[in-house]
Amino acid sequence: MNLDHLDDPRGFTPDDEFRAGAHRLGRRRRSRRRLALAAGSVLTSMAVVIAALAGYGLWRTSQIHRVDVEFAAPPVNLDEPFNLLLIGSDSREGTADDDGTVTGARSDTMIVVRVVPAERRVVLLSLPRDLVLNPALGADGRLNARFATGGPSGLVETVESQLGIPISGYAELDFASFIGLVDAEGGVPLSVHETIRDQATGLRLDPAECTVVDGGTALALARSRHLETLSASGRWVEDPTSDFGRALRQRTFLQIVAARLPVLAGSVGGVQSLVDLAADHLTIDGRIDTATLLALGRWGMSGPQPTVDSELLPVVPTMIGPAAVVVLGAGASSAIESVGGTLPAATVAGAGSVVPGAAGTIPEPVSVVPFGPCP
Amino acid sequence: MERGGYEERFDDLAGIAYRVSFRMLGGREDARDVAQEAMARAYAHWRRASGHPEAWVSRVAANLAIDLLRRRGRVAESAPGESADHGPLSTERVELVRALEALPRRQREVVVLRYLADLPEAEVAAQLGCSAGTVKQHASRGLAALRSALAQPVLLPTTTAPRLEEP
Repeated sequence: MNLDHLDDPRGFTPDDEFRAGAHRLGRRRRSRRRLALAAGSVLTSMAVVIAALAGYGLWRTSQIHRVDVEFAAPPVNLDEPFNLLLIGSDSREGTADDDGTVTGARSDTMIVVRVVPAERRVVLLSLPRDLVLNPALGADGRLNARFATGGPSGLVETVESQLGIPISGYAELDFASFIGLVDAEGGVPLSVHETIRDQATGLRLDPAECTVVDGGTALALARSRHLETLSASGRWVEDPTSDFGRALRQRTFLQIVAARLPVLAGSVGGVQSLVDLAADHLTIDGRIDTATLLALGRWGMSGPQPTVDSELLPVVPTMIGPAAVVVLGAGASSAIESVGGTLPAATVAGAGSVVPGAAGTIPEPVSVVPFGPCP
Repeated sequence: MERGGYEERFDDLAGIAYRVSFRMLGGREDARDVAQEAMARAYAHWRRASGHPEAWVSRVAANLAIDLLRRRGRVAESAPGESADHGPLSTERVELVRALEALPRRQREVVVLRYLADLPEAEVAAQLGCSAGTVKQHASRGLAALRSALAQPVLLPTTTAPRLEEP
């Protein structure tokens, strides 16, 4: 069959305009196609990674150790402000004897973590381990002792009824886990204000505006019991406040590490190591279900970084018999209000030794925490 | 070289694309637009097209022409009042396109390459990656279907007529 009669009698020769148009359209198609291909493959791999992580996360979070705790306050609800009681435990050096029980664990650091979801705000209030709320109990009235004899429920009961701070959830974190966390973050940047050392652990840091320390160094710093700073006269001076300074250092360290979590959560390996660390080193109360845990994680990781305020509970050192303890100082009730609590009058009356007046407050001694976040 | 050979073959391939589309459409502007679009796609997909570029641009040009006519048909049906501008109807072209559309895919490809693009039988076989015998078979069946369709032209209502400006 010949279709020549259907041809254009004038013939056709592509002119420059035709040629340029074909090139222009072709280039546009090509870039659009490349873009679509690139976008498609990125979306696909993201979806796969997210699905894998979600599955992995659910599986691992189901492995987080649980402990039954009795609370007076209602459970965690992200629609309203709530408090968690976070225990930093230093008893399990590393990951050994991780059987999920809390018997025998010592609470080195007790922090009330108040989360105000609507304001993306977190308030940290440290509770000194030697705080005595009922002097009638003697040295056994220390928070630490309440924890040792009554477990998490005993401690929560004491905090809720005697400090008047509602507690909706309980979490216990093995402090050693911070080695892994810090290393997963690729080290933690610290600003070191003075020359410091701890001869017991071999820790030694020189002043630096911003230096990156690894997990082991960070942990040695955070839990140093004999931290010494080099004075201007060239002598080493040991932190005189002992456990008080140590609690402050741990809290500062916790804040620095926590502030970097969103960075870590931005990478696939980072999220995975976070989930692993949680599964291996975190114990939470049985009332927090996996959905709440994941919602909490999402809240923390998405959106702008929450502001973290740190509150000090004013205390006064005193002696009960041979035991060095601390009791509530003036201004304690306003510190407790900052985490949504109300200091019961009975505690103030019962304590008897609450020291009135400004003299009772202990200002945070800078030299006790000779490091901080990088500027 | 990602587009090696594209420039060298440009005039040649553009001519083939134009021939295919003009035989189907019968309008200079339409044929030119279709040929240009076919060459643009050849540019964007040159790595794939360069294997058998004549077949590639012919096939794309034929498909674009069919798409254009379908679009015009739908436009004309939805707005019959505007169809007056579309010019005189070429029954033969309409029937050609209709018959092409009705052919099985392989037959249509052979007919497009062999009779619309005027490629030699051996060339069509090489381009489609089949034997000359297969091409002959598809061509004769396709041609028979085409001839019977063209022998019994069905006049379309002018409202669905494809655009026709020249000659």
